[in-house]
Amino acid sequence: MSGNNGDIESDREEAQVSGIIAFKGSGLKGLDEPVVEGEVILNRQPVSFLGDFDVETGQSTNPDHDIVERSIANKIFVFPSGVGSTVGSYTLINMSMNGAGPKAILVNHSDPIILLGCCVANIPHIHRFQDDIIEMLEDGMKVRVDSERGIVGIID
Amino acid sequence: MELTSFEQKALDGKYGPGLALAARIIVNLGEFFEAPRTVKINSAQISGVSVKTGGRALESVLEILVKGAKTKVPAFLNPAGFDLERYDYIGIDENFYRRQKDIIDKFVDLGVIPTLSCTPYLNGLTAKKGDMLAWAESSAVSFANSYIGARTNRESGLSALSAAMLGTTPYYGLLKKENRIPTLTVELEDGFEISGDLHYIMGLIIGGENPSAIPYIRGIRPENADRYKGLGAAMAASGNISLYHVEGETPEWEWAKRAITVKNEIELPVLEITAEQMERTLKRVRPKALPTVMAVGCPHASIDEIIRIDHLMSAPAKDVQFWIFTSRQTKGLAARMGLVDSLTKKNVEIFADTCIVVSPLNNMNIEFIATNSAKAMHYLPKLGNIDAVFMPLEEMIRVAMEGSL
Repeated sequence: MSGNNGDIESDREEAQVSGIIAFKGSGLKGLDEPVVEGEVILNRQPVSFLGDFDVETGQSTNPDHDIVERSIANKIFVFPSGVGSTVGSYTLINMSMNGAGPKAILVNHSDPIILLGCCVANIPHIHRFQDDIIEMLEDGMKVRVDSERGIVGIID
Repeated sequence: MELTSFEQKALDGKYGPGLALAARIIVNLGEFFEAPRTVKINSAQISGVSVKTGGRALESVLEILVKGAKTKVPAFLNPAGFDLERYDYIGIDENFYRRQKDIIDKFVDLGVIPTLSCTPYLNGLTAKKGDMLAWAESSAVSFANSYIGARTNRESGLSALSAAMLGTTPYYGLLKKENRIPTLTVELEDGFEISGDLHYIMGLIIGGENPSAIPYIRGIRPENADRYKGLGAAMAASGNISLYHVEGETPEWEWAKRAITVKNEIELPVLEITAEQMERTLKRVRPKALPTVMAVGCPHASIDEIIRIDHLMSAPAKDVQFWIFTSRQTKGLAARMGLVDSLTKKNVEIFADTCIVVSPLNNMNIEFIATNSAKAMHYLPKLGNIDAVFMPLEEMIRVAMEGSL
């Protein structure tokens, strides 16, 4: 169901052969552009798209966030889990339409709010990683995200 | 998740971008909940109509969906942010009105039926026991699951709309019989009886203490569908309760009782509702001064409730504004029966298309509201920043006529 576990090792091997470290999770299917590359912005606190961000700029307005006052626009946004109202889907879509949305979302525990927002806004999204993605990645790293296959690779 | 060939083709874009988006949403939602497959649904009920919360995102979703796609099953729409025929009354400007009207027109282009009501079951959307549905509004979800015995998860606006376009929804959660077994027994203290609008306060207590339970309630006998409507709405507001059973009353109660006995060697937790607890809860929510506004109709008032208000109100309301919220259809019926004229003379306003909780009451300098709806009382302070107090309907009407507490 969520990710094809039989392929994990081969995906890993394949990724390592091409010289990068890869992590496997469950990715959103059927996006227009499932593969993107970009820079990680990492937040260790749970995220609510309704209320935590400036919809025009993508800047975090939540003082409890590691990334407060920084913008997630066009970054690979990494965080542990989602919280909050179902209206959050529309907030994420609106952010994306303003050019202030993330380039991809990597999250340990997602929810339908974030998931459906990404479906509509065509944002690659991977969750349920085998490893804690917060510990595996670092702020500022360059990564490649393949949403269709559910794989993240560290490029740099 | 296993897809039908129709769903797979839709996902691959064979039927255009509209159905591709609907399929992407349903497929990914199904994967998220680890559903093995989808099921056909009989109807959908769609929330997320308001231009205020949806904004450009909602407009753009509707523009994509409309490309080559129409609803496959009857799909009814939840209330909008204001009464479309009286928008100037509550300080809505022309531009905001046009955008809201445009969103509703786009839903209509998709084949959605613009009832703009949270009570689709009072406005022509019927279901029977065992039917699979994709409904979004929490009080309607509770009514469908509990009173009708149909099966629906609490969908989001996006997932309900996508399900309506595809005619299917992922098979998980409350759609599966085994997930409908009670997890909590609710009993009344010996000798304590619940009547009238106090059912709603009981709902508030149950949901507040056990937010994700499936209660099996003993010892109450709600007298009609309106009672179930308000009771379920309260539990869904203070908790996330989407299904409850009432012993001797609701369609699945006998099955639920057997399921408890078979499944649980350990007894279910019991919540006892006591007279003292009811008293304590009421004390907290009672008005301390004369409310400036009184509101009925959360969920939307039935024609029967409007008839009753007109009947009980033997004199005009004094010094308070008395509002009823209902669907456009029910208001039309009330007008035809002369009730709108009669109530207008008694200083009662009837609003349609919208709901107490999402109305922009701040625009009208309203400070606090009395209502017989436990749901409205729960949400108004959180969403509208307005104090809300509880009064049973009969008391509200008496106080309104006397103009004092």
